Amino acid sequence: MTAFQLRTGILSGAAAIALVAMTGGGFAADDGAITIATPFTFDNIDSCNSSSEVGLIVRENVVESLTHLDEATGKPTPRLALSWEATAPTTWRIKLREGVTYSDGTPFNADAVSRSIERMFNPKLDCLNRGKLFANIRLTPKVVDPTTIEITTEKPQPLMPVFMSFLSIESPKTDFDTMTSTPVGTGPYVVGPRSPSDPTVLTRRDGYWGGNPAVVKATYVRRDESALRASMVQVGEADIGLNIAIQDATNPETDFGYLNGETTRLRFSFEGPLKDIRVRKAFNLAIDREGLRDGLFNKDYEIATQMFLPRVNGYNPDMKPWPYDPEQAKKLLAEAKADGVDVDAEIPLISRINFYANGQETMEAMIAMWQAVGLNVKLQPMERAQWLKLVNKPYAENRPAMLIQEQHDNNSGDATFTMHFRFHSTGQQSEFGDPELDKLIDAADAATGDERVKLFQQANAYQQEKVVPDVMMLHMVNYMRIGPRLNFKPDHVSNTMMELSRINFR
Amino acid sequence: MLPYLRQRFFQSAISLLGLIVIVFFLARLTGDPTDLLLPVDTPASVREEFAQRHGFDQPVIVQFGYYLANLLRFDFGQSLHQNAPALDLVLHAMPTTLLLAFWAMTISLLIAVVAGAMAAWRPGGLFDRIASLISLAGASIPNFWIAIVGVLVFAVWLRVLPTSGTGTPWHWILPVTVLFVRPCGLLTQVVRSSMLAALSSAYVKTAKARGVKTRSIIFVHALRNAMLPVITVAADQAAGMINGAVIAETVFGFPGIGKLLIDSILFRDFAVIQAAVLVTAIAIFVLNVVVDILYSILDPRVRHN
Repeated sequence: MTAFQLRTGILSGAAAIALVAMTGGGFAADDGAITIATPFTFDNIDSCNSSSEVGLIVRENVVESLTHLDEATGKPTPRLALSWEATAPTTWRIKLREGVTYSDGTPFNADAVSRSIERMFNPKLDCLNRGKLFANIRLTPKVVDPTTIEITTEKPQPLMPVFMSFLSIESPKTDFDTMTSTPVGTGPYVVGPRSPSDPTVLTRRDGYWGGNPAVVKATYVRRDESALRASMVQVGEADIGLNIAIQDATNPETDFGYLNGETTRLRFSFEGPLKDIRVRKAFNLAIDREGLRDGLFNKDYEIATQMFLPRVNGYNPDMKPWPYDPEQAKKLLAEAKADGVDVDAEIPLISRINFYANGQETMEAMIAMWQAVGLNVKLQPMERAQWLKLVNKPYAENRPAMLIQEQHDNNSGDATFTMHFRFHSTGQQSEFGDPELDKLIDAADAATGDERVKLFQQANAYQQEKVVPDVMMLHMVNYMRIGPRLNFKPDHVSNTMMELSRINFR
Repeated sequence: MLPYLRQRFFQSAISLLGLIVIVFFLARLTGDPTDLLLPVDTPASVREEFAQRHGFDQPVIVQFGYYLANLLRFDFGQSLHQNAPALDLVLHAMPTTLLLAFWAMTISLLIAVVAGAMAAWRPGGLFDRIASLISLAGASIPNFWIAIVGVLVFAVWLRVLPTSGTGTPWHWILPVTVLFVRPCGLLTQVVRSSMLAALSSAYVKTAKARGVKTRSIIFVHALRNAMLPVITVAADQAAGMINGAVIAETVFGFPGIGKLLIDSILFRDFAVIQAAVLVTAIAIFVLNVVVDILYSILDPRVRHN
């Protein structure tokens, strides 16, 4: 090595050391300010959308709704609405909170509620709430006085107080014909100026009717990698890391698992051999759910008996998971085969790529269990767009026998959002029609109170025992990494709504 | 030179037109954005209404006609996912990627030229063996591995660099490193082999015989003649940096064109896909013209031809 080469090498090394030394170690956040690392984009946060992003940032933090679903019971509680009553089968009269102002100074009143509802139904806007929740329900608002409003529907809506929790009431100054990326509401925070490259920042405002939350400023940064989000909290760059993958949630002191409201299952298409209930039962009996859970997930995950969690009206606590009984499965298949059912036919299992953590491994393990009882299932992973074509009606005419990987969340507090859609013969994702079950669901939809709960519980038990429309799997878990500065514990609603006012500092 | 540039411009315009057609139709083969932008459980009637509002119910050829007509007015369409003009989003993201690529290529070239030239001066010597080993490793290690290990070592263990994000010059170190390692390894090898040929030529022997300093022989006489293949490979690497940018921008949360492109593909945000591809293609066209000009400066034969 020449002297010139040596000199160059020494200079390069010195420069590298100086660079490292100059950086120091501090990337900590200011007092009262927190940083939340999320995998979400916050591109479309108009409050008339009911997406995860809107739930995480906007709902109740920036734009409040009329009611709020209690985290423990799922029952509607007052928020911007103080009280409500059905004055006629199709009319609800709502008394509004007084003395509330929007962060832009506009007073909150019945006119603002009326405009907000009309804006959601504006056909020029792509409001997801309209498509998801109010596609078949037209709300007609009528201002009675500044603090009273009546909402009328074409058919009786006993769930109106629940629906009201999705009615985010944005400022009347919000543009009526275009979606906004800086929503304004009555909540304790305001959305700062935004550009596509900057993190989204919420700042606490003065004059909020509900008092001052501890968090002064929240910065939401997008990081796609779970390991990176976890690392950010570990080194103090972020205070909360959302959606931490199970393999990255390695620190019991900072990583909290919580049921995220999602339930997984494999749905049967009622075609070919899957028309036979014995075959569908055999599919269930062949699965060792505990083994799957303990091997590929962990005990934070719960084996599901139905498509929603106990906080949802209509959850049936008496339903039991399918036992693991491969011998019984073989017996049922033999009976079906003897009756001419083609139980040896290859049945595709349509999975969705990157649906949830360890999804692919789970599908492969289940296929091995089915092979052990003589079923012939072949995995067909699909990208989301392809998968979606198979999920919704109208189905293709030559729909084959198949299993479809699904995940469903019901955070609305009521079973109707699941039952009608999946198990009623007119449901958009229903694969069958059972008049008895239709009758039960229709009756439950029309009922209120305990009667409604009882009827949905019956419908739930009926579909699992008499129809067997699926292979139920697990109630899923999310992990959140929380930094040592914060006094906050996530729960099952954190996945769809994270109120900053619930976060405190140690 | 001008007639040559004019010719290149027309050739590139034809290529761009072909690209527009291919991207437009291929994007639509990948799926209907209606399904991806609306929640899974949206009723069919709402889906139809959405598709109608945004013209997705029209035959693809009709959609293409509208797209071309708008393009002639420099209207690249609206991002359905981000609810903003597609061109604005692309032009907002472009500078970040260009800056990342600029620093990565500059550092790559500087290191490659110095290390490759020095390695070629004494082939088989200690420096040559070390440079060859490191450059081979650099050219072979996947970007995402460098990114993850970089975060683990420098941000989590040593805590001397931020894990991700933007804001200070320190935030650029890991992403630029991820981008420059591979081209740097490749270019070092190209410079070395190109310099080996140049250093064995007659004019270098003459310079040595006349007692010209080693540094002048390497960096003044031989390097200029060895640079033509280096520029070709460097231009190729610069154009391919969009691939590396996807990794760097995704892992480190950099709001550049690579990340924007991936997001728009995932959401079938056609307007953004089309605008991003078109703008990137124009940037590559400009880069190629710059390379041609550099060629003509370095090699008089190109200029005269």
